[in-house]
Amino acid sequence: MKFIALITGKVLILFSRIFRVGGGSSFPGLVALKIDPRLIVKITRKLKNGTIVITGTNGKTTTSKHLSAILGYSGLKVVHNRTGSNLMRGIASTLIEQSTVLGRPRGNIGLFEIDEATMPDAVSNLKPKVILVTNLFRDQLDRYGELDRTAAVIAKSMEHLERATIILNADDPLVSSLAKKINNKNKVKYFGLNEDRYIAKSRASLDSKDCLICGSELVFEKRFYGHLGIYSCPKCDFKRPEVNYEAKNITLYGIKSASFSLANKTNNIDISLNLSGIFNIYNSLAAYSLARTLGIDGDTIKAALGNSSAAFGRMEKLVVDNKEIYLLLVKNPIGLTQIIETLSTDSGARNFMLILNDNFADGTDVSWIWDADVNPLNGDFNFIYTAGIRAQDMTLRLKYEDFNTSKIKTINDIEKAFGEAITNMPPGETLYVLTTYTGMLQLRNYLTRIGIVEGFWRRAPHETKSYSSLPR
Amino acid sequence: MRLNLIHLYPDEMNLYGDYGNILSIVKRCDWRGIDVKVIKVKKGDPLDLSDADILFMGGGQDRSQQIITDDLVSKGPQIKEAVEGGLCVLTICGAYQLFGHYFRTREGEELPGISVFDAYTVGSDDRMIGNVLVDCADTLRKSGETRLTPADREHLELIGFENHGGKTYLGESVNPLGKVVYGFGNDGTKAWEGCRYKNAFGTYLHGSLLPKNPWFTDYLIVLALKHRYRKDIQLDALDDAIEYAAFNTAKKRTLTAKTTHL
Ligand SMILES: [Zn+2]
Repeated sequence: MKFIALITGKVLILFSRIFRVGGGSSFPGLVALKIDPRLIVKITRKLKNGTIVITGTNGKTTTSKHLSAILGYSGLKVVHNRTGSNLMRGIASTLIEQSTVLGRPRGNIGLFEIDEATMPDAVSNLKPKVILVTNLFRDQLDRYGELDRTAAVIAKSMEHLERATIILNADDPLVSSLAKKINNKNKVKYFGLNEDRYIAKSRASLDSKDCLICGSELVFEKRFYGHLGIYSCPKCDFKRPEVNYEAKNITLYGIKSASFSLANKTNNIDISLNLSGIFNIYNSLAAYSLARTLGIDGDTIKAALGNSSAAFGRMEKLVVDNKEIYLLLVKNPIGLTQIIETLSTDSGARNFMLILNDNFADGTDVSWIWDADVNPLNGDFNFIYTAGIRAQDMTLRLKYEDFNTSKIKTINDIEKAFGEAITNMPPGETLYVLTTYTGMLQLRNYLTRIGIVEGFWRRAPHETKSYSSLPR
Repeated sequence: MRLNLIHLYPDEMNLYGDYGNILSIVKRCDWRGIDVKVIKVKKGDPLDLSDADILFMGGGQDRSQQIITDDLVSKGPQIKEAVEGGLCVLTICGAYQLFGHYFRTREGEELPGISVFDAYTVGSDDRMIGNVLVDCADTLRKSGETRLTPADREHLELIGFENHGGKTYLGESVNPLGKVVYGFGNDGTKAWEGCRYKNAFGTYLHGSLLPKNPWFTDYLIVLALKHRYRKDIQLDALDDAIEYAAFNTAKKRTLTAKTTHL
């Protein structure tokens, strides 16, 4: 009866697949953990190359996807919780699914994206050999509580780890300050940007601007986005640490692609990425830092990143009748600000649709749009359609930044707004749709229903499905 | 004409889109040719209210509130005196709480407030989260308010979003801002929302509050102009179609919400 938890889990996964209930994602794990709370420990300790944990607010999914590709290229077989179910029960489900009935994992390295709040449980069960923290941003507050508490929870989970390597984003003061709480300082490494051209111009929506050690206001020499940048405390010795891994020579080509170099002391590679935005440079750099820590060579990393498609649903490109459409997911002020800032580097970006819903999955409080800097969008735009349940709030937001409201059309019905936008757009141009989560689902369902997505595949079979990744 | 707007603790207390509130005052003055100077007063900065017309302070995280409490208490007597003299004040959420007598946490610890409002707040296990609709018609009429434009008098409702764990109880010498039509309100009993003492207002509403409630923004501007120029000044009417479209959408969403209150 040694494997009863595992077998029960497997039966439940099969059951939920056959009857299409519960999406098959986390329920089997929940039941299996009830039967054997040590199930995760038992399976993961059989992973020959150990486990890696990635946490933080933005970029977990894309960083994991990059790293998973790199590990694959280097010949490792990865067990990865890619369903987005990153609570303990989701991890258990992943492991049950990716193990034999004898509890042997079908892989030799584990890669887990972990929500900040789940870190204490995850660390004690997964016993990771490397932990990477991407960044800490304010998410929808009505769901996730307060940022300081989040940082405290992560710090506590890593406090007493003696053997794990901990990789921190040096440019995020909230993340780099976690090092103060870690006993074994030798095991801490940092990544950050070495960049002078792409300095954030947007109004600072700083989620963390006070020194976490003494409370004084940090001085930023430069910011790359949000509160990420080169900073120091005027009163104590807290400052942006020296980095072990850096990204430099960055060029962004609108929202569509970017080139840059990644380097550490012994290696330097040039990357062309089918993704753009400073946040995506950070995701690539984070994956690079992890891969180098694991001893993977530069050429392998370069090959994997060069072919990277991006995390599901963050960015999707469609082409209809020679009209290009980008679907971009926005979830919080920093995400919206970053996408708009990246779009503003492309003078050809002139047609926009902004979808604002306030369902639970979007965040029911729409105040966050006032914390985003929408100004860089206020250039020579052709039109902006606002749509979704709270379209009128978005239009109002734009009015108070002096947008020409005669070029803004407010239509709550997403399908109708999309249809009009496509009709009114000149051929050869691109429509950028920025949408909250449930708006993305609605629009995708509509596009599938009317066959646009399919039509695109029939018309352009050479085009690869291009998802890219944006902050969540 | 001109106004000086003091933004108190813009870095620490800037939760929930408070930028929208500042922007709303600045733009609606700007569109009428009234020059607004926004003066940011940070922790440790000296506060000079001798030439101030509006004071704004927003909500913050727990740590932010702790960081500024001592500083605020030291500025308290000055703010109280200015409010007695008719200074227009808007405080939201955490700031509203700190402008009362005290905040007593669930653990029984008492954080001092500055007693601008005869009110106190007690931490609770409930989290009061959701859309709110408040009717200010009666409370404004009771205070004999006549300075609103006829167009503004059509509205007198506030729409917003609340997210608080503290329950605020009002004393004898303050009036509520309005009656709760939908939402939890000050103390979770769905009775009253916010408070008013002279020209100082406290409320749990963000969303942001002012952009979608332009009549209230204008009311604050009128009070501030009266304070500076010592006479009633009628504001030019603006085209508020976009503002009230957003108000009406949010109101409809609030009253037909499928998400039930906890
Ligand atoms: Zn310091």
